[in-house]
Amino acid sequence: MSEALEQRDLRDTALDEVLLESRLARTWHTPPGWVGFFTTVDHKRIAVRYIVTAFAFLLLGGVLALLMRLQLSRPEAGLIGPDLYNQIFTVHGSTMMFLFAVPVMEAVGVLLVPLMLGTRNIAFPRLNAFSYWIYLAGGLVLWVAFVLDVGPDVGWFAYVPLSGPQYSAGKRADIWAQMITFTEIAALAIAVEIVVTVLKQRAPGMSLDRIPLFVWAMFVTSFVVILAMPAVVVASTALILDRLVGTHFFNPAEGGDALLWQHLFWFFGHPEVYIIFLPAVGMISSILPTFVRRPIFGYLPLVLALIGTGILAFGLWVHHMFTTGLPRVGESFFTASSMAIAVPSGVQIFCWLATIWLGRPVWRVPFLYILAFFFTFVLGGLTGVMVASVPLDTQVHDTYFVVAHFHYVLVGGAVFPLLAAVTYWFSKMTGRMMSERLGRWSVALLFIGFNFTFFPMHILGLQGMPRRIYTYQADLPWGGMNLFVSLCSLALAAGFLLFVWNALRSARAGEAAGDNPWGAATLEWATSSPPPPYNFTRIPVVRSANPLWDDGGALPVASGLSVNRRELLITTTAEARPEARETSPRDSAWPFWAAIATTIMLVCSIFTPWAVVWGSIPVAVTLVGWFWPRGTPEDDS
Amino acid sequence: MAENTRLFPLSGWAGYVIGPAAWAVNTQLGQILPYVECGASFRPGLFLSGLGVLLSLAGAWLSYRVSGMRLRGSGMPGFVASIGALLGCLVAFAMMLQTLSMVMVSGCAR
Repeated sequence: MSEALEQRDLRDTALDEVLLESRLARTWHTPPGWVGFFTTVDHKRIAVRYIVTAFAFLLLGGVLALLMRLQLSRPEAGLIGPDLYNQIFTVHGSTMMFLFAVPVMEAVGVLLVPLMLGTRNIAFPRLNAFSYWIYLAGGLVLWVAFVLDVGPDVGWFAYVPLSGPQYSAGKRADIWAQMITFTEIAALAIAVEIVVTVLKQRAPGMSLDRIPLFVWAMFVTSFVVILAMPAVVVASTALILDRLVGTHFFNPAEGGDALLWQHLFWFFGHPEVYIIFLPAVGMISSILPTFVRRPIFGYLPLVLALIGTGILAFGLWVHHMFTTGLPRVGESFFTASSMAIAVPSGVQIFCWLATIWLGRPVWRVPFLYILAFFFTFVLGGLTGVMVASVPLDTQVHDTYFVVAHFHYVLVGGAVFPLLAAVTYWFSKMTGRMMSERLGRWSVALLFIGFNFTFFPMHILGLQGMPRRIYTYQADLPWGGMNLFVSLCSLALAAGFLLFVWNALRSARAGEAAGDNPWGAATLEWATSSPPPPYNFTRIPVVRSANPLWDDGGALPVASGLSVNRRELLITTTAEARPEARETSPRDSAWPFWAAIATTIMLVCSIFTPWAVVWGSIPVAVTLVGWFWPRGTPEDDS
Repeated sequence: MAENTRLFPLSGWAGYVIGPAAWAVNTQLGQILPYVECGASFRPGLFLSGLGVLLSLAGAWLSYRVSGMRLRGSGMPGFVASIGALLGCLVAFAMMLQTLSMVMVSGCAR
């Protein structure tokens, strides 16, 4: 081989550690400043940006929740009128579901899946960058509309005929429907990336039975996203067509069907709960072993539970429609599936309990969040079994009992594990530890504030207080309990603020973390904190499900990858045997421009259907620029 | 061992495919058939639900046969098949509950 050829195809085998790191840094680095900000395709930078944005939306949605609690703290309060209240609860629900919960879970996946799998970047990294910009645009569309007093006011589920042209004049419902399009595009993009990354980019030796459980959870979640989200895309598109073009998909007078909306929406909407919940249980399964100092109990049943939940999630949607007059025997089928899905959830709970029982717990903050999760999620699961029963659901439908139930499931089942995950992996991403003292205060405030805020709502619901009312009369017996709930919500808000303050403060001045401060077992802890742009200097080889514990810290590595171009190791689907070398795209501003063009097309299509025709031209131009070969080593490979 | 390895691509996946497919079809039939069954002497939904349970268990059994490879040390394929076997049982349980509901609730109930 000539010297020139050797230089062009320089491999890691030919370099010592120091030289290798410097060559890899040159190949994989992102330019500093604004150029790097808009062009980076580093999964870690995009994921952190995603997570920070999602938490900003969490805080905004939280402010709306506090406004609602202020209004409901006493009867006949005149702080917020009915129109604004309708906008507030709609934007609160839409923000929390579409702009916080789903994106933040996927973002944690984008951050951790490549690191846990021992690869250098996520699959389709430019699509990943595009996903973030589209998500941000969708969030801005919703919030700018809200600030301009044209925010959607039809609930986060936008039922027809209320959201149809007959009952919702103006553009409020269209803004909701188009925000859905933005966030679904973003979510689907990430789902595809994660599926491909998990199937083809695992470290050598990481066979299917050695994949970290968080990665399994993200893998199953991604399939649920791919199968569920097209239903709501179809629904929101049909709604826009009804409103803008004059079709009659949901108009019974012209042969349409109003109930079709609910079927389409909840066929997405119920799996959506598991799109949020499954990553959370993956987090628990990956964090828990570190804090009980032993491998997870029941790896196989936990994987079964993830897959079983992902499948059964598609057979529950009608339990949101028990009061719509469907045949009882049909409804009972969904009661059956709703009861059956408690089995995999129970399996997971018992596996985690067994892991704790057999281990030696270390009472650090992430473990405390996990305990908070157990308490709240089990309560939410129990009320879930209650509302899966048709007679009880018929009684409590559209009452505060349901509000209490789903906040127990979503906050208990997803937010507590998420906060555990942020606390746990914060050290990996920043190189610093979050404050343990402030963390304990956060756990206490959040746990007490949450339970005192939402548990009384069960009672309010059983007393008959309906959801989505902006006020109530003084002679109804709800005033005292509502005041208590509103006061406790301040403690919950204080817990979140303290958490954010702790994160901001620790990112600048926290204790130095080191590579593996918790003594964890999975591959992300095998690299430095924070990881370099190329993640791993040499690709690790895996020989067990807990590589950093079972290999005594000295991992074998694979070699032979090029260092002059961005290159990944591709492995076989089942056994993860090395199969090929594949290039990974360089930084590019085209995903950003493609997102801008797509945003202009989608926003303008709220006002005229021709925007889809003319708007597709700039979108096509940006896509041509995106894929145009530029003679880089990656293109030439 | 070699024979089982050849069987894997088909029968090892049976638990993933047969049970969930039968469950999905049965769930749809549960929305369609009540209108037919109201007042009828024969209830096809009950029969089809029961058949779905059996099919799902059959899928689980086919996967279970391959899962034995794991016990004999071949590792990963047996892992996949073991999950298939358990998944078939889980879906069969869900369909069994659906079958029971057809026994208890008439197609005419609204």
